Amino acid sequence: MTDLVNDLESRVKDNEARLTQIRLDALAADMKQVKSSRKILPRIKDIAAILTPLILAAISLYVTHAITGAMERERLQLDHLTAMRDLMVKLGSTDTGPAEAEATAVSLAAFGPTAIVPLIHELQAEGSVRPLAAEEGLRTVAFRYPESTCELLIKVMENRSGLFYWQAHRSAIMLLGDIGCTDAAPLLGGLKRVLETPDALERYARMVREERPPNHKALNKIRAEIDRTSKKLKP
Amino acid sequence: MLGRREASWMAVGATVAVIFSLLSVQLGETQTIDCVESLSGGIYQIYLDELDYTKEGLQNDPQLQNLMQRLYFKLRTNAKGLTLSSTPVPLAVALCKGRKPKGEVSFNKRMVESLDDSDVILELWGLLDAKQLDGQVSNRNASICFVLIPVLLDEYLNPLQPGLQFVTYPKAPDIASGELINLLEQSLELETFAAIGIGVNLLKNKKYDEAMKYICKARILLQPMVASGGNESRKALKDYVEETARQIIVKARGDANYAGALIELVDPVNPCP
Repeated sequence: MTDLVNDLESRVKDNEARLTQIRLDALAADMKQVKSSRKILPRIKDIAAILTPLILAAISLYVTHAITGAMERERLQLDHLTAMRDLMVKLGSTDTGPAEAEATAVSLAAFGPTAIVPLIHELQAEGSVRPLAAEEGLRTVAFRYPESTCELLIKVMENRSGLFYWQAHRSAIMLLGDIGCTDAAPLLGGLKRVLETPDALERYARMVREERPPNHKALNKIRAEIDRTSKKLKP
Repeated sequence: MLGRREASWMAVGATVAVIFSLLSVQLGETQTIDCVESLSGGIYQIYLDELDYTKEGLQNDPQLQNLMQRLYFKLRTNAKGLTLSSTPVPLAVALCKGRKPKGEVSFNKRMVESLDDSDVILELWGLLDAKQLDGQVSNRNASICFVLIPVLLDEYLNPLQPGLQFVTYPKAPDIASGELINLLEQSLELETFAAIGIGVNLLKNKKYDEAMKYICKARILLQPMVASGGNESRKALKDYVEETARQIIVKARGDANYAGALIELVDPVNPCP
């Protein structure tokens, strides 16, 4: 009996010793972690101290750059408008012949998409010189910016409230074909169907500007132009 | 939205373009400017361009100046005389100051289409010439080109059509210069060519009966010109007029909305009696 008690006591002592060792190991591990974290924290603080002014400088540089860029673009646009206005005045002059008008319209085209609306406006002008020059100008813009040009020419054809003369419609249809504005095909198909109805002249006259009303000759020209353009736009 | 770099390049391009454009003012080689008196809205128009002189100094000759002024006056005041009293159509003569075409090259297809869009039926341009010797001016003559816009437009489909008709006044070289004005005023060419322009336009607007009247009038006026040994272009114009008359019959009879006299009463082979 005494032996059994002694054996049990010695086992308990062993276990206590092991347990104590395990606790000591765990404590040592915790101490190690605490020590290493004490080393990292000062590093983060150092890095943050270096990065903060750099980030602030980058942000301020970006903001300054963006503001300067915006101001420069505004100034450029203003310069463009002034230069474009001079060219528009020259194009609109009654002394301007075809070659000079074409050179002016092509010069306008150099301003890119900004020039599209003024050139469309010139399609509406009286006579032959300005509208034909504007057609050349629009072809030139479209060489570099086909999407923007197509979009606005399609808008010309979408208008049904009489903003445009039939002559401008004709030019727009021709240009849609020349530029290859495939998105215009359904719109032109719809217009062709209107022009094939018995009351086509009355219906079309309501779509275009009334100061120069279309007649049967005009209607035939629009139909022929749609046919030509539709052929060009076929895939 | 344009990028900054792209905008900068565009600015450079635009600056070059403006300089190029301004330089072209210096060149100023062309004179086919728009007609400032041009009208719109369903009025047939005759463009009367500014006649040019072949030599320096002729512009000071009073007889040539008088000729030009009387020609302008005659045309502008007598425009109504160019239409048929039984079938009047709105017609105006536009005096185109500064417009001086350089010949056929000034009338490319798109230009002619555009003139036709504005219902221009005829354009007159030309040159005044004379001999100058020791300050004396003699042998005055005028070379007038009549551009039949609708005929010229058809030429692009059929190259045989005579859209440009040249007439030199006086026609006989022994006629005294003083008579030049009367010769020009009494000329039948203007009346003939105007009738053709109106007739072709009326046909395109499905006014078959009216078109036939003008085309037949033109054919009657053309006959003596061709019979008296007229040039090839005049003969070709007569053929064009006769073919147009036949086309009027064909189109009238093919038009379901037409119920006029051209369906039964006219001989389709010889529509103009």
